[in-house]
Amino acid sequence: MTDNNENKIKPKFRFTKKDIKKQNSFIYQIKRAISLGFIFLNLVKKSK
Amino acid sequence: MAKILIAGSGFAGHYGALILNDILKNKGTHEITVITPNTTFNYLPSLVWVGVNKMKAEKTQFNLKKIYDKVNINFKHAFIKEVHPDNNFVIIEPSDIDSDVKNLNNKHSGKMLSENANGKQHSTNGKAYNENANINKPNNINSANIGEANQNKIEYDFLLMATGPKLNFEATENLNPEFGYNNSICTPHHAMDTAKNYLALIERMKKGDKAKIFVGTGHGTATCQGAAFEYIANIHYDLVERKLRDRAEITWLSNEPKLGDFGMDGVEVRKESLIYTSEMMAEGVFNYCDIKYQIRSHVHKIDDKKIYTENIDGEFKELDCNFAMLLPPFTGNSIKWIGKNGEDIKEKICNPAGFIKVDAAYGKSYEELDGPDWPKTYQTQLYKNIFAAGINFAPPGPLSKPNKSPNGTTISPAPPRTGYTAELSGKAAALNIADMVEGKEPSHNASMADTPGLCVASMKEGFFNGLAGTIAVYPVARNRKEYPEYGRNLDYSVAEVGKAGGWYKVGLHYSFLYKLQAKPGWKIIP
Repeated sequence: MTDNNENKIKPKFRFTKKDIKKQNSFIYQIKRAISLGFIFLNLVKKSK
Repeated sequence: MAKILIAGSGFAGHYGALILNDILKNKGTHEITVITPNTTFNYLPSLVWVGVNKMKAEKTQFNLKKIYDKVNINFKHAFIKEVHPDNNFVIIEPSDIDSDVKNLNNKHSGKMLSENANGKQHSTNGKAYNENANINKPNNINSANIGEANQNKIEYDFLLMATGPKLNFEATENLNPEFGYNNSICTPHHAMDTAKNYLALIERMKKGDKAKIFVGTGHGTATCQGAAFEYIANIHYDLVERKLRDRAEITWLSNEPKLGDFGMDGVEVRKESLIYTSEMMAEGVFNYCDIKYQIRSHVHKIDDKKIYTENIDGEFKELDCNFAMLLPPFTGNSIKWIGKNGEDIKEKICNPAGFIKVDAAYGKSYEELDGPDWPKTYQTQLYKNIFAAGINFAPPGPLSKPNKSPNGTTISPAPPRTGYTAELSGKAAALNIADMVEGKEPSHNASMADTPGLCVASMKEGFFNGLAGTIAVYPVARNRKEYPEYGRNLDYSVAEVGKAGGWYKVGLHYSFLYKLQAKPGWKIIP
């Protein structure tokens, strides 16, 4: 239902099975939460 | 002694008041007054959960007066009707709004849900509730009867305007939820009504009905696509949980120039040697969730059966619809600005949309606009003792590429200035007022071209089963002078989906509500 030509011809981006597995994996997501925490802290420091 | 007035009690106004009070409490006797038509602070980012009946609305609010009494800030439950900047006073009118949803039965007495001919739920409450009602109420106080309203005259030395926007539902025919064709999660009461309508839809689907659901923006210039993105994903996962997903066709309807734009020109993320974008993230989510999408679209009208759209190519479409949650555009509110001779000076103070002009470089084209053009101190240039923060300040231009259809319809998302961005601008304005109280020049900068944007978009509620799209970007407004390649520092960019974001979303809900209630240690929470 996209209404622009660019989207009609380009291949659609899809999550791979590996992406979905990562999104739902507790261990991987705990690691991501720690990484995101550091990124957020750095960003907060930049906004001071 | 300085008299400081803060108009509004959202992220910018309320947090600005707390910061200012904390800084000035040991620096002489200063008087801080917050004027707001609301009785509660409303944590709007969590209303997405209220709108799918996963959270009670009362968990998103707290009573303002209790907090202000605790920290010695004056609280005026009132609308600002006029500002007289040459004479340093405002005219207020007492508010009769009780925004506390616990008192809903009193405010919405006689409210009921009924079905129209299409079997679609719509609200028939007689009295519209609107947190931004100051812009919708008749302005019955003017300069001619100031004498009568002297008790409503409040003088100030410094004024921080942070009243938030008008939810301009009137820009699109029948978009206002009061008409019963559209839903909204913009206020606690809207979100509660939306939950009722959503649950009624669920009941019909359980009986075998199929539903066409549209979520997104209800106008070519609307913003807050992130909130709509959260809502559509929450609806998808809720229907999956209820085993009803196969009975719904869900469509993302938006004014964005590209998927994942979110009104801020999208996000690029460096992953090893590749550049991954928020467009890919949104497309991945929509394809995985089987959500259709129509972007680059303006909504002209909505009725009980259809949504009438026009896309960037000028094509008009009529989309069959059973349930819609389309966000309205924002405009400035209808506060009058009166000059020293009683003349209307609003045009000097505000841009055509009614937002207050501050220290930005206005008038540049999208192509010319760059980071240094965005406001830094949020001080108005005509009146140095007046500041505007949050959604109230006029941005110098859009962040997303503006477009017009061949028919002349503007399809250009407005820049988002809500949530964390609003809080940062409110804090900077408060700190700059503190500077001026101490006889210094404003020195605090919270330019959107120098501060980060953080958006954790819930997709599925819950701590263990939750899921969210996490978007972080630095800075929000592209600053090509500083970062020539992308206008942003990609070392801080994030665009990903996962449980980690879901945990942060829950954490943000509780930490923000804790901080904004000025509970012990609130100052160390960023």
